[in-house]
Amino acid sequence: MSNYFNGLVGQKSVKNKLSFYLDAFHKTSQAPFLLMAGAKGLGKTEFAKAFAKNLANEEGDKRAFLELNCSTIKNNEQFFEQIFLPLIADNEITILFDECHALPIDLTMAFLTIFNTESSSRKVFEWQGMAFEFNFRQQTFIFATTETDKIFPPLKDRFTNVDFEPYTSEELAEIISIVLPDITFEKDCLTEVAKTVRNNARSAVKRSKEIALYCGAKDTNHFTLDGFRDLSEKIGILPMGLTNTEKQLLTALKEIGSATLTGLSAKLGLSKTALQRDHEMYLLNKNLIEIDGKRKITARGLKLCGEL
Amino acid sequence: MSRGRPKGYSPYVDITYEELGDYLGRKSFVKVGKAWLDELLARSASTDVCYQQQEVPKKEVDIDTEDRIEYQITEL
Repeated sequence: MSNYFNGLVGQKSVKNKLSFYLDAFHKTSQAPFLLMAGAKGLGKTEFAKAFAKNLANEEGDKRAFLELNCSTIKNNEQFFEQIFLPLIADNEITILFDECHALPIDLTMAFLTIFNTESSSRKVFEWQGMAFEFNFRQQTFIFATTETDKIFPPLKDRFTNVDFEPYTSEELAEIISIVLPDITFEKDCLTEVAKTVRNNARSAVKRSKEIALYCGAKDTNHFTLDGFRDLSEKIGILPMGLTNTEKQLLTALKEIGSATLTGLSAKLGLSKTALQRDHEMYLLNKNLIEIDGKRKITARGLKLCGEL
Repeated sequence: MSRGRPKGYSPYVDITYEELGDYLGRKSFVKVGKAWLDELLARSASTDVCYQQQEVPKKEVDIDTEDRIEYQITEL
């Protein structure tokens, strides 16, 4: 199996799966309709781009990569007029439908027909007296979302799932050192930095940029643990990369012992959905809180609270 | 024997200005209270000023821009 994803760190199972489809593509000129699924910052777009980079035609020509945000598509007419006819029809191109859970309903229905192919590499979609031809040897369609549950299930059935995993601290440390090739790190410093980027590659890249700025301001190319403490104090980096809201949530639970979601929502002034989706998930993942009917802080959470 | 108006009775009815015009025409005389007319004139004078002050420039809506699908093409 070729190594198609040399520059990308981690996501071993994603790499294996995509490499398999790339090998198959080089024999058949056809790739499945991939659905990149996973939390934000795990590299869905980067991997889609790297996949597209490896899709060359028989003459070895690479294709263009079109990335569009589905939440800006309002209906079929707009899609076929602005995107399909000028950019896709008769072209060799890879298209990434980002945030595909936000596709409008009429385009979702159109895609049900278009992507309902078994062995054929072409599909003609007729709509309002016009025929739009899709050629899956020339055009590769990739979809990406953080919210797979919101995709219309029959459409999801037409896709091949590629699931992304959270990055380990070692992988995140590797990403930071790749982004900052000119900066050396004191022993254990890279690991400490990696612990604050929430298992997220995009955050690792952002943190690297902050370190580059800090080192630039201090006129040094060596980053130490003291330097990291100083930087954390200056820009408010909390242990484990907690946000201020998560800090407040832990502190509230420490004070009141246990609370219902409604109680916490009232105390913190945030909607229940925002609390659950944006903050509790990470705290649960890090074993800082537990939910047993009510929300409670764990021993680990209590220990961390002492450090905040 | 009861006298006077029954409870809830009102000598007035609501009618639109347009409907009244249909019956009387725009140039007919209609009796209105002096105090009410004075108040109305004063209010419309001050309202004219308000309208002038509150006039906001018309927002030009660029339908083309609002309906654009966001995309980015990269030559790999």
